[in-house]
Amino acid sequence: MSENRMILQSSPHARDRESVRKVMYTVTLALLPAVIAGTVFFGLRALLVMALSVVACLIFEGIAMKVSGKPVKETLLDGSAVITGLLVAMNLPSGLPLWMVVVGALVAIVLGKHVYGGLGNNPFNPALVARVFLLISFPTAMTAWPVPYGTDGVTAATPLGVLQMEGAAVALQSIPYYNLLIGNVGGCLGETSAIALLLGGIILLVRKVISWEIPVTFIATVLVFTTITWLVAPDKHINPLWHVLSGGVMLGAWFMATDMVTSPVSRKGMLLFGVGCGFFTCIIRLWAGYPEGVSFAILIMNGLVPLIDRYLAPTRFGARQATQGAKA
Amino acid sequence: MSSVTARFKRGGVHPYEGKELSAASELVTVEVPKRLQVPVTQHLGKPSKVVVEKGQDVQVGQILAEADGPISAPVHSPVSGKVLKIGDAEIVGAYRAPVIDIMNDGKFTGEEAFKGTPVVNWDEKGDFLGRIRSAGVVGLGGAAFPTAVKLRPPPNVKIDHLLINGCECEPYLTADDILMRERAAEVVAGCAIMAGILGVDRVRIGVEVNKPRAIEALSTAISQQVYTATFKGAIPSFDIVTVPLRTMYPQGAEKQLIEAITGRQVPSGQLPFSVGCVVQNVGTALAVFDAVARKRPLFERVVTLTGGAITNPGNYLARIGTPVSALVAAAGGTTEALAAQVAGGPMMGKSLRNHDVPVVKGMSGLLFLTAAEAAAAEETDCIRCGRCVNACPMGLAPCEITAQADFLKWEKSISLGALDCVECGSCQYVCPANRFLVARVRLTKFYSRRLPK
Amino acid sequence: MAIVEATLFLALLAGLLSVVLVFASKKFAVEENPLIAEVEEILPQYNCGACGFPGCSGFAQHVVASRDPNAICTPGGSDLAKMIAGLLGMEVAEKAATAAHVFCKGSNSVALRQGRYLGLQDCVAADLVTSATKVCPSGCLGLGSCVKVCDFDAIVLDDGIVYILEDKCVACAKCVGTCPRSLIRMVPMGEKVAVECSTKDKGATVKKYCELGCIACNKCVKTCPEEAISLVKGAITIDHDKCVLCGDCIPVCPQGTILGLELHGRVLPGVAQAENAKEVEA
Repeated sequence: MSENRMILQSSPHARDRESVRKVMYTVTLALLPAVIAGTVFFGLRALLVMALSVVACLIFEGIAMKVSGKPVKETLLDGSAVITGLLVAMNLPSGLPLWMVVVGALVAIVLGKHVYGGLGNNPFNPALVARVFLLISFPTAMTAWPVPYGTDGVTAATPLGVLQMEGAAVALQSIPYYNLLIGNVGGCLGETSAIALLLGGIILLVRKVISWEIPVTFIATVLVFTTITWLVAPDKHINPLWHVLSGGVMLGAWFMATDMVTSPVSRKGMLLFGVGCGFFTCIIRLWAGYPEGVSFAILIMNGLVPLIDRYLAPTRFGARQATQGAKA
Repeated sequence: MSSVTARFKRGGVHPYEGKELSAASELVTVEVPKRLQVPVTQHLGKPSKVVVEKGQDVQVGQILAEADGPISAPVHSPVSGKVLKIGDAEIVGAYRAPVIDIMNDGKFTGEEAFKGTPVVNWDEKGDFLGRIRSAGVVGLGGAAFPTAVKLRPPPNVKIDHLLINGCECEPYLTADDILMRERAAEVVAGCAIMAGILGVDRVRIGVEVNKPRAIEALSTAISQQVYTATFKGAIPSFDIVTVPLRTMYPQGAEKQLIEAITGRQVPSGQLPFSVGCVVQNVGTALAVFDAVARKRPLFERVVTLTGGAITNPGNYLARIGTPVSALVAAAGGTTEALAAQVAGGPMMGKSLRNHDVPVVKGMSGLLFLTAAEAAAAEETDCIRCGRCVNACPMGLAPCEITAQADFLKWEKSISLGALDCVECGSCQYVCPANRFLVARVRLTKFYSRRLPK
Repeated sequence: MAIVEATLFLALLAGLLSVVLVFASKKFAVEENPLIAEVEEILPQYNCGACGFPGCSGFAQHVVASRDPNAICTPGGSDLAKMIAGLLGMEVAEKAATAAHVFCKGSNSVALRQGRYLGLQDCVAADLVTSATKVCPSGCLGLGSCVKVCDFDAIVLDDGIVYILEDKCVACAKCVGTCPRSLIRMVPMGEKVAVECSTKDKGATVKKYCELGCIACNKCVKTCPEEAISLVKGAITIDHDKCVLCGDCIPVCPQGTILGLELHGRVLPGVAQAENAKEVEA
């Protein structure tokens, strides 16, 4: 028995037109400049890695959803798996054996996301979980960096690798800022072009998919930290600009640390999160065994997010003590 | 102007305004139907006591139900005629509520008494509050709290501001707008009366800048002293100012309005009295003027009928107790596109099942929405984007509060501030996952009362 | 050599720590009444909270400390109460076993629905939107809030109405406080002639929206030989102390609202009559 079909719901009866799908595809769009840059510098092989990673992620996502009894049709194409796939690929060297790319996708989707209950419940950035997994499991393959515009099999050190192995002076001399900016250097296929990533970041900011707090504090912290070390020991440490433009800072600050699921929800929390990411990046870069520390830094901060959210909750309205009126 | 206009400090959203649908047209008086259902209790507080009997003849403005206790308000007959029955009927927000059915004899006996020249004699100032109380004036912004109660602060607090809420921050609604435009002098006079009762001189009328004509009309009425035309006796001095406010929802929420105009924050769980403020709605100000200057009880109000699925959107003056169906008929009926109907604004209004419910004092608008406007959507998993946190004007983290509610952890949800929520709906409005955040907070509030463990 | 050193070191460490542990367990041992453990042993370990104490161990501590004859473990029933009383050497208050019961039979096939409820799928949320699923203001909303709180899977949602599986119900009463319309009440096991409707509306109104709704026609009141049924404030009420389970009220109910099904394996005479009558008609 049923009568009319009038919609009944509780307030509010209005919504803005934003949806998870729109958010996700905006991020994908913002990644496009970096995708193009990666393809330009590392060739079709880079494109293949990205395509394979996306497809593998979609397949694993579908299987994981089916297994956990979630509606596959509605949510498979919400864009989150596409982004995970793209970001996994961007964190890999373009010459990585293809089966390792598939393993990366599997780790990202299953170990990084679905074991925790799927979208929205994962504490760690799935793409970074995959990257770190691969880095630890296959250190040689994961650090064989193809040369930009190079032929298959020819590898070279990344700028940060050069810095660690041969010191600041050699690094400054051999790698010009211009190359760092446009991405004509060795590295993960999506992290080298600072300018493309910056462009993507601006798209995200303008479309209000992310807010400025995390990327700005992340980059600013790296700048401040490395400025101090540079001023203290200019012969040992390289200048802050070089630090910011090299390695994964740009990709990390704009796309990885800003992952909504694994970053704090309050503005205050985001500020601290960004500072923490920058801080740990510098610590690892300057004093740890790995030349690059962005992935580890973000993962460490991911782990601290529940704590940050708890202690840096937004200030409640009226929490400021009873003001003038009460005294008057 | 917009760059310097005041607003509340935290959160807020700017939904599609939709005011143009109903703002342009003239105020239409709805023909009084043959039969009216006047709910016995139309305010927030103790239910009123019925004082008429079945079969009794009543006049316009005669008391049908009287206030029972200090926080209560009387209800008056909107027409002259016969009491058909005293029983139960559906009203907005309650399936079954006591109502008084009145058969309208069409003569409007007794209405003449309220149509004389309005006079505000300040020498009778001591009498004003009593007139407001016996006229059954309640907050017309929606909450319907008895106005007289708000105008008598506890003796130990000092009030230095009377704030008048002309924000009408709910999208679509223009009922307050049209009152400010067409009856500015009386609105301001009503504000002056309330200020006089409270013994404050500082009156601030907050109006969002998307109502420039209302701001102009009020400013003119103030600067040219039009509002004092009806005043007699020893008129106190007033400092009345119209404050243009940024168009931002929920600018008209009581605590947000106080912050926007005075910069003060009402502490959690306390009343505006605690920061020396009293807030009244512009419609209430007009009702206060009518009560004091004309001794006219509150038995009609302006209701905005709007939305994409009503033939003639606009503002309609209707007697309390008029069924919604009569208003819909006056507005030319609904169209095929009707998918949802709401009593109140789109952000805080209540879904309406049918057109049988009567107009009550607190009914500011009726929305007849198309499927696109109603924006019903399936909810998906929270992606922790934090938009709700940024939108919350109360400084809460709606995503965290409602996540606790999902696990039936009511205490945790309360400790995160669920009871501070004003249910303005900003969080749910911006949520990309379309989560029912407000409903979950309401669950917490419900269980906080029911399971006090 | 290194391996010997390591082994020695670990052995030493283990020895030291075990000494510390032994010392700590002696030093910080808490004296506990052994009865508490014994009582806890025989409790059902549901930790349902129906007794009002934090879990079964909380209940055991309370019972042993207070010897309170009114502290009852509902799921355990009178058998358990007797066992506990035996352990503690005290008298127990007799209390009939109860089970939760839903006083509404307005499934989607018999109750009129109205509108499309697109809000949060939860009864409390739906109830705040006036009569969001069914027209009846006092019927089961059919969104299963009680199903969510039941720890024992004793509540089943089917065709827009919930049923309680009595064999699974442990009478913890959690669902009672959850229903926004207070449709779930605890009733004594075995006293199951019930007016399966909670409406307060008039008969004519009820007929408009529910095929199984009580219309307060008073036929059952007149029929009951024990005068156990009466009309209280517009609602038909059965006094279970007077009811002798004869079942005479069941066939006279024109709406089929009064139901008295199998009670501990026995069919009420009234039900049998009604069944027979139906067969005869057919």
